[in-house]
Amino acid sequence: MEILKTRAARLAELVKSGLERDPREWPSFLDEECGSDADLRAEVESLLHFQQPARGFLQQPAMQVAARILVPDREPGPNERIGDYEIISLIGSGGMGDVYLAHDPKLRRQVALKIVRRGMVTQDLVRRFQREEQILAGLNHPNIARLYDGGVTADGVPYFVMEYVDGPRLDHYCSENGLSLLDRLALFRKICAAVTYAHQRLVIHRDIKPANIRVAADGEPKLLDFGIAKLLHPATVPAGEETMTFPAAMTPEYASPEQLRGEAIATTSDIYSLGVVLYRLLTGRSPYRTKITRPDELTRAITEQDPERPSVAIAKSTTHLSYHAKSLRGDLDNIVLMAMRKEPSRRYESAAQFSTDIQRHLEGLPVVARKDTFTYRASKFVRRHRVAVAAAFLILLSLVGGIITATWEAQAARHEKAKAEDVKNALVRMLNSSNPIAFSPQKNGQNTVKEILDETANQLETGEFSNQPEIKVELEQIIAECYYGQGNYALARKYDQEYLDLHRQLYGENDTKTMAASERRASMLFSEGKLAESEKHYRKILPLMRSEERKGNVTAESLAGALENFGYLRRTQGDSKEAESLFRESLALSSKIPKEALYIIGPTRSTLASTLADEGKFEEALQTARQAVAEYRQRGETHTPNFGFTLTVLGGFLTEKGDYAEADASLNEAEAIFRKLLAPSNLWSGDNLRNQAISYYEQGRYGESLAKVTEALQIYRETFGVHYDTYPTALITQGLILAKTGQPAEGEKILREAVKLRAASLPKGHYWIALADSALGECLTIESRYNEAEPLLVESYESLNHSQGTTNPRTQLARQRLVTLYEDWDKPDAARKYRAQPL
Amino acid sequence: MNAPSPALGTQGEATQILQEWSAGDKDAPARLMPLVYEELRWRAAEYLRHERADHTLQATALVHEVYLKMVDQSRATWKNEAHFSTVAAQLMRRILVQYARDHNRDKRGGKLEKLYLDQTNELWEERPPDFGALDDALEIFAMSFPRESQVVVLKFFGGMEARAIAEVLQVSEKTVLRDWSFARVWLCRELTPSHGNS
Repeated sequence: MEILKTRAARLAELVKSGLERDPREWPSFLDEECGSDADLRAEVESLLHFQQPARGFLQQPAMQVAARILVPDREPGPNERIGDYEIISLIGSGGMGDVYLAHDPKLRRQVALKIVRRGMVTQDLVRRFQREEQILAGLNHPNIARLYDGGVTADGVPYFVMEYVDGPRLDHYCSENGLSLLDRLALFRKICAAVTYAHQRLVIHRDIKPANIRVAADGEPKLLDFGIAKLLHPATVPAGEETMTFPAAMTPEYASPEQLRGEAIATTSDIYSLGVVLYRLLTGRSPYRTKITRPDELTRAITEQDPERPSVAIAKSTTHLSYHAKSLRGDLDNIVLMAMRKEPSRRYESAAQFSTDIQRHLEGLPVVARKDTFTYRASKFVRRHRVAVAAAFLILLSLVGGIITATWEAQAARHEKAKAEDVKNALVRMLNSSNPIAFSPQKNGQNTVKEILDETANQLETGEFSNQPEIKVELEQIIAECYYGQGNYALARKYDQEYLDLHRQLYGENDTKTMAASERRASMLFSEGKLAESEKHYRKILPLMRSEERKGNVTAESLAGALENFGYLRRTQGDSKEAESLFRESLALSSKIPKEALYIIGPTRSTLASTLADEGKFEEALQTARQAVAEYRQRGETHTPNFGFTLTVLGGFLTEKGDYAEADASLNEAEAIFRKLLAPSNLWSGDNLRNQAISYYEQGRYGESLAKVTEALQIYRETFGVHYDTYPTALITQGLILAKTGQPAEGEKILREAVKLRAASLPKGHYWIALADSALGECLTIESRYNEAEPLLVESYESLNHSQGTTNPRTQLARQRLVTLYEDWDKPDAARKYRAQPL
Repeated sequence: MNAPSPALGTQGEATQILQEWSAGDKDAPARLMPLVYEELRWRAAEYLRHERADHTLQATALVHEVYLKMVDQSRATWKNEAHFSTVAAQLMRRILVQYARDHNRDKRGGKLEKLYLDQTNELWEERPPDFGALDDALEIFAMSFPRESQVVVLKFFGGMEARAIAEVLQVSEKTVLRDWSFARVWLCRELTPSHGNS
């Protein structure tokens, strides 16, 4: 007994301690505390995993319910009046209240009357009810059931009076009438129109599901309960806490992942629910595969599982449908799944766009929805290609500018922090959704963009948002981003700095939000070529981030990302040693990073390989590069830009080693991946072109090489600019080709540019300087200017010998150039001396 | 015309029982309970019938008000109120559990059940737990974790705040909060189909 008791106490203590920790620390915590006691560990672990499901459990005191039992609801009987309405019969009952069919004697029509359950009435509910009622009553659309009236009964219970729709649920209507695919889509598009209408008036439905869509006798679908969910479940209450708090108190199948997580809800949440409704309509099945009986399982499925493609699901459907999988395959699969993406920013921007895409499909036009790729997830990528992305963003912004401005004003009026989140989501969504419609050149309205920008900036200046610092802080960032995109660096910096300052004021210096803002500033400085200033920022924030990461206030992936960026900066500054240790530190965090965020450090191992090569550890570098590729192949993640990048890096090393066949295979594979997943002007495509150019150059295929390297340089100039660390590398290849194909003067000019760039950004003695010098020496040799070539070639050879070691391919190349110099110069003794250098 | 508050005339009696309880009388709670029940019922009804709708029914406020009405404040100590809250919490538990069990026997299903089911989902094949199931789970829980189960009774059924519970149980507020988190995961697991031990 005593032993049992001790064991129970130990179990309780471990679970309590575990609950106080970050879930990512649980494995190490359990390792440490449970040792080899597998039973204890399993028990503790099982309980800890109920932290999420138990979040809202028992949170509301039982008194609310008890009061209802002590004094049960008095149910209104037939012919009884509520307000001006005569009750006819009870037609439905839900968690929040009952719905009655009633008669409106004034207008002589039937209405649906919803009475809120007494136990659910709170002061807050009544206040919200009064505030929102007018907005909702203003919704007037043929496919939305009208809210006619609302009031409070003599007992103080609020009620709604709504248009009564006498008809079946949407899904039942479709299956009972055996509707064709075309008819189903047409019905669905009407619902999209209703949702679009409401969204334009800033009303979010929050509970779109087939049960809330009725088809009237004339065949028109009507969406019920618009905005009611918000009245009853305000966003300020975390999901699960607003009703009696047993685990099954939600309707999660149609709820968006962000809704289930209790996050702020934007119009994109409705887009998700619409996607699930369409999925059901088309396939007759739930999008989630497992036979789910428990809310926590369904929640996990919705937040983590990828839904089966509708064309696959339909094959398993038991519902009789008049069409086949073939009609869903392709466009419709992509359209449904785009609406249902986990990340709100990657769904359709609006219900209208969703609907238009269906229309485009029906007309045989290309659709916006694409098969899901990892392209958009590479946020790191976005960071490194700021200019191109920001330009795309501006085009998109111009399209929806009107709406956004309206939204901002409405927010200013409403003082709602949650709405700031809406703005941010809307903008991020635009930032991320590059699509054929938005990119069509005739819709490019730069003037509008500038106007919006200046207007918003002006509003910030005049203190329009001074009493809403949380909104202001978001706008600062957006404006900085836009000005950056326009190439107005001065203004961008100003807002960026204000963004950071405001964070400091709002949250204090050591707050994690301030750190994130500071990291942002640092990475922007880096991309502007202000390396030393950027370094200063990183040195300040990294120690803070490290300690906050240990405390669980900063995620491992944020820290890993910052370490990676700083490592990249240090490498560009020529400190390969520190870069190496930063990359290793970043990689060491990988076990703590959730799978879906691992892409953040996806390129890190390859960049580490390049850094090892910087330090002269060529063999280790090659092995590391191979390992990076192998890791991706093992995980089967071969359709990602990150994997392409690892191939590019490996291809570079193989070229240096002289394995041209293997190098080209690797680089061609990368090229195919990038062509599929990235915009043609992407920086990583540039890197791959550059490495292909080098390989072809080494093989003497100068024509092909020159074409590739010229394209690479073009991409570099358009994106990152001349500060990009391998821009000079590409210049060297271009210069040498020109020198070897009869244009040595042109080549020399380009090589001198490379030498100048290297010397400007790197410390003396860095091997990149030596490589540039050595290349210029070769060019001068070709021009027979031996006197000028000799010191360059001798010095660079010695420098490489020192930094990279004698056997390094780069040292060997420099030595070969010296031999050539002396042979051409007719100094056989000197040539022999270098030829005889030990390998 | 409303019926007069049952507390009229019972002030002396309730105060007396609380003092006997403080003095160590183990049967005191049982004698106090019916008195509290009557007053609580009356006052809750008052709230719902006649107060303005924006007057939220606050569990702690209600219990406190009942206490003030029932106990002669000139003779009361803080310990009396703590004891009183404990009784109210246990009372609440009994009322709810009894109600749930009555309605489970009723084939048509009670109204209470609808509260838990909320917007019923076709995916839910098993019935969600009700107060009866919670009560059973709490019994099992109390066998291994007596103090933690007390916290649940006082907090969930009694609507008491952590600070007040800490005083009643003579532990720190932090301990109460840790007990509460633990109890919730344990009970949630127990009540989740295919996970519970019983």
